[in-house]
Amino acid sequence: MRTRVCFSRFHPLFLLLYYIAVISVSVFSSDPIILGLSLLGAILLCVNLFGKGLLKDAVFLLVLTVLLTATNPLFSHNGITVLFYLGDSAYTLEALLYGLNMSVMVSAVILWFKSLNAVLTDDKMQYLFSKSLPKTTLVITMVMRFIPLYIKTVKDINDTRRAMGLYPKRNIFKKIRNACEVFLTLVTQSLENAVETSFSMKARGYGEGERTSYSTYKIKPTDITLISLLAISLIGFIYAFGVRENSSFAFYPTFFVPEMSALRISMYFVFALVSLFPFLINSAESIKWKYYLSKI
Amino acid sequence: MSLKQRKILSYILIFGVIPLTVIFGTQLLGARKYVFLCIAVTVFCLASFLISIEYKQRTAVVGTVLVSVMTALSVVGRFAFSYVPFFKPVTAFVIITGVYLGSQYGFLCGALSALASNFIFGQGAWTPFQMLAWGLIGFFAGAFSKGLVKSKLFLYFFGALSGVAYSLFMDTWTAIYVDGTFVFSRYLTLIAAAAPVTAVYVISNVIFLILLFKPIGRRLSRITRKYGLSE
Repeated sequence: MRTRVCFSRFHPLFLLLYYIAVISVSVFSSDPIILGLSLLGAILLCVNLFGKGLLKDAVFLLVLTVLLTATNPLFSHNGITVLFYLGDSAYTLEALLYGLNMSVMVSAVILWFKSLNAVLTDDKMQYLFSKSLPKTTLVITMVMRFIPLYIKTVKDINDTRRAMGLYPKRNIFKKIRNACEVFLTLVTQSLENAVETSFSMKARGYGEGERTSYSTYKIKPTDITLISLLAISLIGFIYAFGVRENSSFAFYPTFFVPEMSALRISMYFVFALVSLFPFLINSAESIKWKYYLSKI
Repeated sequence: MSLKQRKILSYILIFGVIPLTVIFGTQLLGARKYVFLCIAVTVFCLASFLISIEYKQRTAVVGTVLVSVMTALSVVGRFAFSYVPFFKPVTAFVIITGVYLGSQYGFLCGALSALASNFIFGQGAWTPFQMLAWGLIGFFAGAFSKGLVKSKLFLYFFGALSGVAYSLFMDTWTAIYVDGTFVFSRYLTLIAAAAPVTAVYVISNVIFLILLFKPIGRRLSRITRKYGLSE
């Protein structure tokens, strides 16, 4: 995984708002052009992040798309262009198209979340929420530290048991019993340590005032500009698609394309910029890098 | 934020923001409004729960550490039992935490188990729903804690029921997510498709409660007695 993409170096607050904006627009829009642009942006960003590692997901998403598209007419019998009849119910072209649109949306959201896991890592999440939810963030921090520690402890306990001559059994019930014993050993050990930890925290003055947090993120003028641009374009979307435009793409009873007003086209253009923003930034950076290399 | 501000914020979320989102969402938004509303309402519910936990019991250090240990254990349980397929002790752990540490910590353990395990297994649009579902299981386990400790049968019934309820809750979300509205035939198909998994949930919940409830309870009460932490 290439974590050093330029997009992930922006301030976590901007990244969080960006993902909320893009994902919520994709989730509640049913406009095929918006969804197509969203999918394109998600794919390009994921290619930047994961490179060839994306092939496995591509296969999964293609299967999902085919499955969702082909089965939608079985649930929905709306639409006037009947392709064929299955028993008594009609299998319509409109339902098929609706299924395709829906699966583009599902794939786009899955890919956005996949890139979110790589871009907005858990330390950035903690940084974002440590002010408003200090206790919850503290618990998450501890949990994320305990998980690898406990996995290591489980391995240690297993090794110790093996050294004592307690080998894992083949019988499934004995397997579960064995796993339970290992697990309960872990529980005893970790609970004991937890109380020690809490005493140590108390001794260091936990709960006596606001917690300070270590963070290296500083909000820059670029981040503020980007956040305001994002807010303006979101307000534009809500105004354009929620208030001004009465007509929209429809699938039932027949596929309907709304009139392409100037406002609509400009909104598509703005969304294209928003959705492709990570890819454009990454590409610009790599071109700059190559340019500087050529000058050396 | 001071404690009072937090309290006010959580009330504003419950009595102000959620109804307003529903009213404006149904009036203004277009085709996929129900998906948007589902996510928004779930996130606000979660936020108000978490904020209300924040302003209570602020100085209870031991409880905070214990709940993180239980959450981490429930996630690690997925690894410890990974060679027994489909067995996940998460629900059993959330129930145990709710019963022994109270309903607020039960909620916290459930919600954060979902969040933390998704950091490893991948976040998705389902994360808030999973968090709310497991959180509520922990909350109700805390609310019925006296009965659950007293009667074994009630405990196992509660475990089985929470398996079914979890499955139905998640299927409701999937149905709304896929169709944009609630199509009952789709919902039934999803339930039928998920039936084997639901059965595994129910069985594994009951088995884990049989295996873990008493030993972990004994260990927790031993710790509280040893260090003089009894409430």
